[in-house]
Amino acid sequence: MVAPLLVAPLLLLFAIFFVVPFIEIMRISFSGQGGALAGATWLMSSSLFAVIFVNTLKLALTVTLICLGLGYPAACFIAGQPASQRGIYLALVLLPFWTSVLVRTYTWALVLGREGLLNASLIWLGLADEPQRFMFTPLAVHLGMVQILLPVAILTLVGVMTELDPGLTRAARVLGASPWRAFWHVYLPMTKPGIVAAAMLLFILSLGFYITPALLGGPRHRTIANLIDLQVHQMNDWTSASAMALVLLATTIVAVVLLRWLVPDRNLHGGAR
Amino acid sequence: MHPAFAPARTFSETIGAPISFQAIGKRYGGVPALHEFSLDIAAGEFVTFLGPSGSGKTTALNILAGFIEPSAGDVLIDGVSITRLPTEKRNVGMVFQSYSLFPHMDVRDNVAFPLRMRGVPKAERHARAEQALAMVRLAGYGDRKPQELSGGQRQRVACARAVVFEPRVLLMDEPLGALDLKLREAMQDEIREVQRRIGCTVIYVTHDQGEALTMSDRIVVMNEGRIEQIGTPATIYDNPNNAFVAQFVGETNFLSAALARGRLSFAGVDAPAPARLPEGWRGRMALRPEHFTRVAAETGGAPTLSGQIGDIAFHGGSYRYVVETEKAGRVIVQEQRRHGSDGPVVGAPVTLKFSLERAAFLEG
Repeated sequence: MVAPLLVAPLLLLFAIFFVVPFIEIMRISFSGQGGALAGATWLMSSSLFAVIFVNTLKLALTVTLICLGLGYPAACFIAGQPASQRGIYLALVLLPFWTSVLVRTYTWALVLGREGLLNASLIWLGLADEPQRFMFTPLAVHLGMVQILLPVAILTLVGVMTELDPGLTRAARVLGASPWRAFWHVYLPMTKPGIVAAAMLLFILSLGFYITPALLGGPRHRTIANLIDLQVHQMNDWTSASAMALVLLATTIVAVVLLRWLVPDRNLHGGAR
Repeated sequence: MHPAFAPARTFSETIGAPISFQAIGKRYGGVPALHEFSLDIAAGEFVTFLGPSGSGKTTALNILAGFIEPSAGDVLIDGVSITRLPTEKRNVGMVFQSYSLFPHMDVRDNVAFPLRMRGVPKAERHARAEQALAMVRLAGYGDRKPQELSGGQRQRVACARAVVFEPRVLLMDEPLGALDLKLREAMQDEIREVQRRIGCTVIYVTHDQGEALTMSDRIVVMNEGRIEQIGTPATIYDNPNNAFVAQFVGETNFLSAALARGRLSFAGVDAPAPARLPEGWRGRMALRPEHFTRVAAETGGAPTLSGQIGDIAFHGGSYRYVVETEKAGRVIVQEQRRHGSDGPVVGAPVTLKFSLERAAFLEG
C-alpha cells in the first residue's frame, strides 16, 4: 500500500506541469480563431514551416551522427582505462557538461565571430587575407550543438561499455579474430544497446534545441523551436505554435518507435553478459 | 568409455602439438609473477597447472594464449616460436571460467565462430558446429541463446567452440570453477573423453588439487611464480618434493624427525632408518591420513603413536578423524570402513600404526 504513495508526488507534478499544459496545447491547436483545423491548415500551407521542419530534422540527425562518431571512440578509450583512472577522464567530459549552455554558446560566438579567435588565427597563419564568415552559418550551429551534446553521447556509451565483459573480446581473439574483427563481430554488436540509447537521447535533445541555433545560426538558420518562439512572441499566434509543438512531439515518438523497431527489445536488454 | 560419447563421431583425427616453455619470465612493475618457467609438454599430453591464486599458473597460460607478453624467454608450439605471434594466429582453443559465450549470438553461431574467422563457408561451418555440439551432448541446442542454458550446458558449448576448429592445443582456465560439485565431477569425465577423442594437447589450470589428481597425465605444482614440482599425479601425491607440495596436494601430517647411528627418531619413537636416508639427516616426515591404521595395542615392528580420538567426520566409505597424540600433536587419520568391525569413538584412547616406507621425507 506504500508503494503507490512513493510515486504520488511525481505523478502530481507530472499532472500539473505536463498533462495540463499538454491538454491546453491540444485545445489551442484545434480550437483557434480559424476553427478546429486552423493549426493544421497553417502547417500545411506554411512554406516556412516545411523548410524549417526539414532543416530541423536534418540538423538533429547530423548532430546525432557526428556525436556518435566522435563519442564512440572516446568512450571506448575511457572504458578501456583502469577503473582508478576512468574518473579523471569522466571528469574532463563532465566539466563542460556542467557549464551553462548559454555560456558555452556565447563562447562559440567569441571564437567564431568576425574578430574571434578562429579568424585571428587564420589571418596570423596566413591562411586567410580577411576575416571569414563563420557566425550565423550551419557550421556554427553544428559546432555548438555537437560540443554541447557530446558529453551526453560519451557518458551514455561509457556506461554500457564498462558493463561489458572484457573476456569476450579476448575469447574472440584467441578463437581466431583479428583486433578489427573482434571489434566488428563482438564488441560493436554488444555495445548496440548503448548506441541506440545514445542516439535516442541525442536526437530528441537536438530536435528541441533553441538557444544555440538562435545565437549561432541567426534568423536564417532557425529550428522549429525558434519558429515556435517567433509565432508566440512576434506573431502572437498560439494556434500555429501549439500545432508545431504537437508535430515535434509526434516526430519524437516516431523516432523512438523507429529505433525500437530497427533494434528489437531483446537486443537492448540481452546485451550485457 | 563414457556412455554420452558412445555414438561414432565423424570428427577427423587431430594430433596434439608439443609445447615448450623456455625460461619464461614475467614481471609486473618489478614484481615477478613468473620466474624462469621452463616446461616441455609432449604432444597429446594432459598437463595441469596447479597452484593457489597468485602462483603464476594463469600468467603462464595467458602467455601461451598471447594475452600477456613475457618479459623474458620463449614459447614454442611444435618447435616453432610463437612469442611474437598475435593471439589469433596461434591456433589454440581456449575455455574460460566465465564461459565467455557471445550473448548476441545463438549457440550455433557461437560454436561456429572460430570457423567463420577461418573463412569456412556457412553451410560447412554450421554442419561442423552441429557435430561439435553433438560431441558435448547438446545436439539440437543450436538455436538457443547462451542465456537460456544452464551453467553446465554453457560450459559444454564453450568446450565445443574451443575444439570445433580442431586445434592442436587446448587451453582451459579453471573451466569448472563456476559449477557445483556433482556437475564438476561429471564434466571432468567429459573433458577427458573429449580430449581422448580429439587427441589435442591440453593445458588445464586449476587451484583444485582433487581435479588435478583426477584428470592429469602430469601436474605442474606452482607457487609464487615458481614451479615446485612436476610429475604424474601418483608421484606428486606419494613423493612430494617439499612441504608446500605435500600440504597443497592432499592432506598431510608432518612429524619432525632426525637420523642418527642408523636409527630414525621422532615423536618419542625410535625406528630402524629407511635405507634411502643419509646419516645425520634432519627434517620432517610427511604422512598421509590413510597411512595410519588403528590397532588394538602396541604391535611389534611398525612404529606407533598413541593418543585420544577427537572430532570424527563420516565420509560414507570412510571415516576421517583427528587424534590428539601425546608426542606428535594433532594427527589426521582416514580409515576405510570395514564390515563387522567397530568404527572410531570420540574420546577413546587409540594406537596408530604406520609404515615408514610410505612416508615422504622432506628437508627442513
